[in-house]
Amino acid sequence: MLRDTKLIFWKEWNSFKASDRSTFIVFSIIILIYSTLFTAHGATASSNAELLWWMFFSFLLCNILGNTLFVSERMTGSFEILLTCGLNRSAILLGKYFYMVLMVLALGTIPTIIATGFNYFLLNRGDCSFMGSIPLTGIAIFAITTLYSSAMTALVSLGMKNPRTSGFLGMLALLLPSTIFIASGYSLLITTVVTCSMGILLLGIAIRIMQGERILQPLNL
Amino acid sequence: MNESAPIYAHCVSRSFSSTRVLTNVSLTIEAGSVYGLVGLNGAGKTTLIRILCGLLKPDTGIATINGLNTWNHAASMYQTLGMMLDHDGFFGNLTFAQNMQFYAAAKHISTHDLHMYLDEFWSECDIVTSPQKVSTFSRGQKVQCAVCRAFLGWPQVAIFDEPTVALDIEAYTQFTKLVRSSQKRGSAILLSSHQLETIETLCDRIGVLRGGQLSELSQPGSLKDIWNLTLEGLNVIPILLQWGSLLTPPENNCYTIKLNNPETTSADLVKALVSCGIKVYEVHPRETSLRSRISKALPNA
Repeated sequence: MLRDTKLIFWKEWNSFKASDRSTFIVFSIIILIYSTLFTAHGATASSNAELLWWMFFSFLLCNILGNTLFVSERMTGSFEILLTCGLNRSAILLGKYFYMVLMVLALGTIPTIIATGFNYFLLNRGDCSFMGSIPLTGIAIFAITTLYSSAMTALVSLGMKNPRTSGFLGMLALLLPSTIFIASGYSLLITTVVTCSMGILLLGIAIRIMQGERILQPLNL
Repeated sequence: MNESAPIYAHCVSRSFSSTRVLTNVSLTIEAGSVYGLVGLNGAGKTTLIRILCGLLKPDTGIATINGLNTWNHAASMYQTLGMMLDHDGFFGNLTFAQNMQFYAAAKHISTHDLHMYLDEFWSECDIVTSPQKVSTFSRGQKVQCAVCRAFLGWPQVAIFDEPTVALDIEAYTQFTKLVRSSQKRGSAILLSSHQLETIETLCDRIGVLRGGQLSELSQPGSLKDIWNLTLEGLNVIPILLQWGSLLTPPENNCYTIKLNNPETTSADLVKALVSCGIKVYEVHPRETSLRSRISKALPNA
């Protein structure tokens, strides 16, 4: 199982190196710009509205990656080859899921830390230590939402006849963490528990769908 | 029916919504044989192939590969199964070498064996070493690559859906060579194609899918069971009737006979006639081609 997951990871990484790099460089720059704006007024000033923006960014990146990882392979038929080359079906899904999570986390976190460094050292805006300037709450919210959004994207990309609806469904699903976050009085703990639980549930459903033939239904694009 | 045969299906039925595509299809393909599957578009060939590959679940009946139920998706089943579906299925962003490396790893085939296979059978094929992504290949090149992938590791079972449709003459020859080589190694091969030349050349048995049901042609290839003969002698007709039935009344010493045994060669027939004192001037077989036989099996063809 672990071997199969690693093999999928290897394949996705090589595909990324071959074609998706430029897209993600552009995304990194966009995140870098936004992160610079967010961190420009110091670490403690990460407002709650900005934290909701982190959630949205996570969803957006997961959605774009989901199209590459699942939808395009279903369209070209290479997904069928994946299913019939002797790999465990759950491992295929988990390989793609963890790849998505790590890529999105890297894309969100690295530019944010660079932006924090830019603000701290070049603009000399830091009124506390550099580590203290890193918007840890924002990164935590981003990571939690990524775990959840990746599961949601995997589920929708595999189960829906028309994966174009994944954007709308993802937006709808994003209401869960944002509502919990606001309703709990911006409690990171409650948001983490509820969102991660829902993420695990969605991932379980996606693994179940992987065992059936629904994933091979013709796409209605 | 041999349930432990490499490819086995028993009473397989499958519907999509209200459309019945397969009805009680049974099929056994033994090791070392090549089975040709023909039928009109929409006859259910691809559905049957997908059931055999574990991509679709039969509504009723059972399909097994090497005794393993295809719908259980056992990894060990896929280790012994090579296939080429109705699309190439390559990861377009990777090179062919990377695709093969992935596929070999998934099938637990060592890098050494992969290179041995590529060197032995594909050394003259440029695309194998091409640094280009597979997405830049032509349709024919992709099909050629898919053939290469299907035979990797010499699987015990190989299933092909329209394998020769975009192949050039060299690639076609290579494909036939690989099928023969695989057959010699004891593989059971299922070949679905509209190209009857391919079916006629390669297959030991031929099945025709019609109306969701599979019927097998009694004998593959062209049958040479009807002969035109020009003969002179006494008691020609009684002697000929021992070999078959006359299709038309004799005219100017010309006879048309349908032999009871299609395996009979012209030498057998001439020898028998001459031994009865009949002079044999001309012997011409009148072939019943595979195309006409399949056309009879498929009235709407």
